[in-house]
Amino acid sequence: MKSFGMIIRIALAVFGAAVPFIGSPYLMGVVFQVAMWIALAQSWSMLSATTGYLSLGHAVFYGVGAYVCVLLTGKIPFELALLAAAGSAALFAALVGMPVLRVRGPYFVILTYGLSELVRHIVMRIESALGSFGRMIFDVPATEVLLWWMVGLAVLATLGAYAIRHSRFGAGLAAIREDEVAAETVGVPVTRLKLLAFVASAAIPGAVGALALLRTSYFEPAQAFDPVISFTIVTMALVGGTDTVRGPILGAVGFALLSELLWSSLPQLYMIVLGLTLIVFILFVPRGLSGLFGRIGRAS
Amino acid sequence: MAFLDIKGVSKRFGGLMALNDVTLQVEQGEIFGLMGANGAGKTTLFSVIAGHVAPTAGEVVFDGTRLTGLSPSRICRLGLCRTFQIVRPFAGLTVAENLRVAALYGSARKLSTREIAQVVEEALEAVDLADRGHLDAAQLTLSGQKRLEIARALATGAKLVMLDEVMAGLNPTEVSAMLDTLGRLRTERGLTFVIVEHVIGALMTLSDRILVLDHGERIAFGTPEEIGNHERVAEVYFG
Ligand SMILES: Nc1ncnc2c1ncn2[C@@H]1O[C@H](COP(=O)(O)OP(=O)(O)O)[C@@H](O)[C@H]1O
Ligand SMILES: [Mg+2]
Repeated sequence: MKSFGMIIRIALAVFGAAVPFIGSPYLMGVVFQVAMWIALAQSWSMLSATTGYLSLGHAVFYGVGAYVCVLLTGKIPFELALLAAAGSAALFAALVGMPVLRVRGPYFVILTYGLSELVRHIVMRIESALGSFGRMIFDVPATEVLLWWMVGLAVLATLGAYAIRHSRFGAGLAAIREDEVAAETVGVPVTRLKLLAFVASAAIPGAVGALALLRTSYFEPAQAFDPVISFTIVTMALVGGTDTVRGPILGAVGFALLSELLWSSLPQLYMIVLGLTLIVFILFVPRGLSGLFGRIGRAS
Repeated sequence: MAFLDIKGVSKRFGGLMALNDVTLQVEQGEIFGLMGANGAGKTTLFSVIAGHVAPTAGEVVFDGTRLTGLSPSRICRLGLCRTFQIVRPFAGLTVAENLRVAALYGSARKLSTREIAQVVEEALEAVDLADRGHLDAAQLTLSGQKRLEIARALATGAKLVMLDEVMAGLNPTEVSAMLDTLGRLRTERGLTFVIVEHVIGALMTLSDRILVLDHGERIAFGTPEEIGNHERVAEVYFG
């Protein structure tokens, strides 16, 4: 309950700080980014923090959402397109989940990465076969609308991650993380639960991809399925800490702000910082910022 | 019909017959002992019954339901749970959380929060871990983890529990305490046990009937006295 209060406080602080600046395009951009990464890292944690199956391919869900959205936009209302994006990403996860979730450990990491890259190349082929080299989107919703949707997704993903961790479902996933054979032995339907977690962690990234696409109003497969998205999600979640729901928030906020500082001026430096931080945290701070803050909090 | 009916079960691992046409019946409420030297096939028989290993031939029927082909989690929810000779605790969860998972998922019926707390408590007490509930399972000694294996199987609400060498690593006092506990669970809750044990004395004291396996085959079956006087058992065990 304590960590939940913390989340609420962080969320309120972020939005409280942001509200006076709504209207400032720059700040809206920053809040959009922060909310986007919170939504992505939190969704990722629904599968990877709970079960220990580390996905290095979440860009695929983001990309599928963006692609579905670009195909549908203008044909159906914006809200329905978002729903379709989330639904398609979830459906895609349901279809590939069974075989993909048969392997674990480093094999799962590599397989999810490979799957994401495979889909990226397939979509690139399809698009170039159609003679399309990037699609412009006209008639996108106002920036404020996109912003509030993204903030909504960040909140939804956080609540979802919290609810999963504290539910019967979450207890089953934790058992799977600790020992899959023992979990199955005491009645946990391992295959079904893993698949459900995979689907749950894919849906919101689909909608996030759609919103991000509408924000740039330009679709290009290499960008929509960019593996850097996957790397960033994993880094944020691990640096933030996967033990509690506030971890991904801390990581996402930290990195989104860092990227604002570094990305525009020194993009190469940003990638280097990302990589170095990940290594340092994995080696020296395995419980992430969240664990670090918890320790400091207890010590004081 | 027997509570647990094992009909002509065989299991081949490559060129090795780990189980060869094993047939046996366990009655409800009894403590059934399984004996045999290392490699006799005892653990494999548990794995076949619990659904972890598919038999090469034969079938298992429990409480009127054919188990062969079902997943271990289904079999557990039907009321049959095993422990592991090489312990498999949920190491990063607390002892109580280990049991909570079993209570949440193991029973056929969905339990209320209060019932779950009660099941966890009872299971902790049954194996004398009541003061260890808050510890991480990894912090328990081997004997503690063996007892956690038993408690977790009990917490699923299983009617038949298969214990695979859970007394190994316990000192004599702990063994006799465990014997008391199992005997009590049988009388108070009507649980049925199938027990594999290397501590032969314990097995002889506790079991109603004993089956002896050797190289995957039945070589003797009977009451503890009959087994104690059996020629081939003496050969296998005492050379
Ligand atoms: N998964 C497996 N693959 C190959 N051989 C196995 C496997 N499991 C057990 N065995 C072999 O089957 C035989 C019976 O083993 P096991 O059932 O563990 O015996 P016990 O529990 O009676 O000591 C042994 O020879 C063992 O090496
Ligand atoms: Mg064995």
